[in-house]
Amino acid sequence: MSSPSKALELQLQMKQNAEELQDFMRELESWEKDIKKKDAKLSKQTADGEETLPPIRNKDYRKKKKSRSKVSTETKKNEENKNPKRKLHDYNYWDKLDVELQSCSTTSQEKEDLKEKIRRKTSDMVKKKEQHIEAQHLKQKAIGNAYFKEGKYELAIECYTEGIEADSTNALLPANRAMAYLKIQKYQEAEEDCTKAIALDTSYGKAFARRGTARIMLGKLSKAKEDFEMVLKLEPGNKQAISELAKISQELNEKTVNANQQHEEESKELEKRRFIKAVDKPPHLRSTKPLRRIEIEEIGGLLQTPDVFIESNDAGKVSVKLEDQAKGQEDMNSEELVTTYPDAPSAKMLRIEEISDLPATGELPGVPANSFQLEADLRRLKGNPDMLYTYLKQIEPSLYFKLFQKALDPDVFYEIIKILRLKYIENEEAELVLEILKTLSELRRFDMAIMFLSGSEKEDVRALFAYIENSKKTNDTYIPLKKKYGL
Amino acid sequence: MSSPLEKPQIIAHVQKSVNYTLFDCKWIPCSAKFVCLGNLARGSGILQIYEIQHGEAKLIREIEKTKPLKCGTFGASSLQQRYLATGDFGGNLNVWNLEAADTPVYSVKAHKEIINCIDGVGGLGIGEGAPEIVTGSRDGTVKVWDTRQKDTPVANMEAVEGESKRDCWTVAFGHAYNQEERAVCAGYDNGDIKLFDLRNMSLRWETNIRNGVCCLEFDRKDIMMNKLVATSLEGKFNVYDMRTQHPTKGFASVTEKAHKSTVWQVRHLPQNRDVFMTTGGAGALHLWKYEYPAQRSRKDSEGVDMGVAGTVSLLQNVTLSTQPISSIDWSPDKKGLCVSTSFDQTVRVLIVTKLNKL
Repeated sequence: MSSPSKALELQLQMKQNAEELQDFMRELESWEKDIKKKDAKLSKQTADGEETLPPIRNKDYRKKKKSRSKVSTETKKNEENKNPKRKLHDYNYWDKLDVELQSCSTTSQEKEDLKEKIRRKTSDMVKKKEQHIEAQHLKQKAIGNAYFKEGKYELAIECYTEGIEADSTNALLPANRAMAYLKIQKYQEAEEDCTKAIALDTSYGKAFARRGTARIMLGKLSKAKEDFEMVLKLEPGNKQAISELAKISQELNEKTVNANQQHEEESKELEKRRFIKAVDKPPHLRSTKPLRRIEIEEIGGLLQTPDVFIESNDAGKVSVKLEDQAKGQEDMNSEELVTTYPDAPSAKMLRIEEISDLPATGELPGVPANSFQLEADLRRLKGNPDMLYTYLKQIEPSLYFKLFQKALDPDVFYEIIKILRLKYIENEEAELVLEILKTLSELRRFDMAIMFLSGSEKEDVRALFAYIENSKKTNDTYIPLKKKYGL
Repeated sequence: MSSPLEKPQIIAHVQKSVNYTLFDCKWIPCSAKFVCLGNLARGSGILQIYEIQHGEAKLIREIEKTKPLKCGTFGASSLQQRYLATGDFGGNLNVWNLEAADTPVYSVKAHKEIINCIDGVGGLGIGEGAPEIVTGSRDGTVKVWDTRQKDTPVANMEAVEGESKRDCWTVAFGHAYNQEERAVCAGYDNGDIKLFDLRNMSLRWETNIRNGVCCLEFDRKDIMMNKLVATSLEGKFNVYDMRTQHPTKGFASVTEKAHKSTVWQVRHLPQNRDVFMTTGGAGALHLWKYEYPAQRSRKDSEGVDMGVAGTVSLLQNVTLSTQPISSIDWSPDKKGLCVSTSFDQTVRVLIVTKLNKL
């Protein structure tokens, strides 16, 4: 190709390019216009019906979390409703409260008003009636007396009863009825009537005398004596009373010996009655309610064997005893349970029962398999440093890692520290103590346990370190360890 | 043999100097406006909106924020709302209504450290499924956000405990061709590229390009994964064919040495996804075209499908600046129009001609 043609071509292309660019610019201009219109239209447009968007990703996963928190807030709300905060400025609350109170008081007042009205109305009627009734009971008394004189005591009693119903304030009627009862030897009723009459009229000598007689017949000598003494007070020189009193004192002297014996017997019988009697119900009659577990509180010290209270004189009690004996075996079972399911909530319950049953001077438990067992064993051996010492001695320091996989329990930690101070210092090498302290310090939550040390516990730790220091068997780990223990 | 003059031309249509460090620029969809994000000298963030008016870029709004704004996207917003999601130096993800940008529409403390990169999908009619925003941060995590859910991300991709956390430099959405499927690709400073499948919530693929990954972009977000371009710190970029994944070899790729310096960004032409622009650390722009091979997959010796990479050809290159070009964005509405920002504190509106003749 010749160079002029190439130059020409180049020129042509340059021109083309320029044209192209010009075209583009023109296009751009018109596009600008168009797009600006479009833009303006878009910005004027208001939400053109929300598109249905797909759900939020992983929403279900979040929902689970959320719903939980929601529930908690809801319950919180409920709680708030139940126990609304009583703020002084919460006028609404107080208003409401007052209104309620007022409404209460008004209603009760209304009721009382009503009652009073009724009372007034009825009292008018009663007054009218009373005169009539008075006449009636006098009449009944007269008739009763007449029957009594005739010896028709039952009829007399009927009359007196009617009279009492009509006028319950008259002391004569019950006293007379008591006399009639005495005649037909119904001493109990006689006594009651006399008491009634005395209540109505405390200076009614005859009533006392009659009650005295009734009581003699009932065997209540000492009480009868009191009654006759009262009669003598009211009516000095009452012959009946004097003779009765003499009789009573005689009889009382005779009876004192017997009575004492009787009392003894009675008390014995009472003692006997304390026994639990086994109830043997057929299965279909037994309660369908599930048995409730009664929590047993731990009380330190020796426990008396329950046999003291239970006397074995029937089958039911024997079975109780058998159970007691069987418990020893159950303990073994429960121990197994505990070791296999240390997290089961029932395990602790079983453990507690076992503790309460076992005397503190039981056998030394073996090397614990987990922290639960260790904790329980420590609790059981509490207050027995010798046992605790031998128990802890069994546990190799390296075993603590395995025991306290989850975390070091502060209580257990303090217990160990205490035993270390009490027993290890006098019996063991400082090296062992150091080793144990070191292992403990490497356990999880150790820092927490240290943080919660009380003054005396800190003193224990200090004593331990002093012991180690005195033995001069310290190594390079000693100082950092001391720091770890907060010394 | 065509002469260089027959190739597309890249012409700086408008140049505008600003008084702050430019990090990112984005066209506002369906408008002649674009936003620039950056860092003012006094340490605060700035957001500027420009509009093209007869060959000029006119500043129409300027909004200052407390934290420097590193990156932004409209990708998760509806066309009608056109909310801008931004990531800032403090690790906050904010969504702004540009008409009332005083308070964010959505705000979350997304990361502990600077948000390096952001991408959105599900908005603007691009990509099926819920609108989501993905952010990558120096704290090593990649988090996916749904603006309907407060405070917590819908997905969080972070290094396994114990593994060292890598600075995440770039994230990209893709594979959003139906309601369920969606993938996030993340590139890290150690050269790792990780592809997360959001449907299965699993890592689908990972590779290392032995160089910091500066930018990742799928050619299209709203189709099945097709191509992925990854640019690196030392001038190379890789184009992966994402259609065929070999169980051991992964995706086939072609590597091209493009610039003599860092390839800061890559952007596919929205109107023709075989064409893409890379921006270089020396202020150069390279326009590339990807050519598919005759067959995109073949069987290997064991009869398993494996991808075949195509070839990449350079269409045009131009040096606009002496400083790195930090970002570029093609106008979604006007073919051949794009905006770029560079560290010489200049915003450029560029025209690329002859794109319809490719």
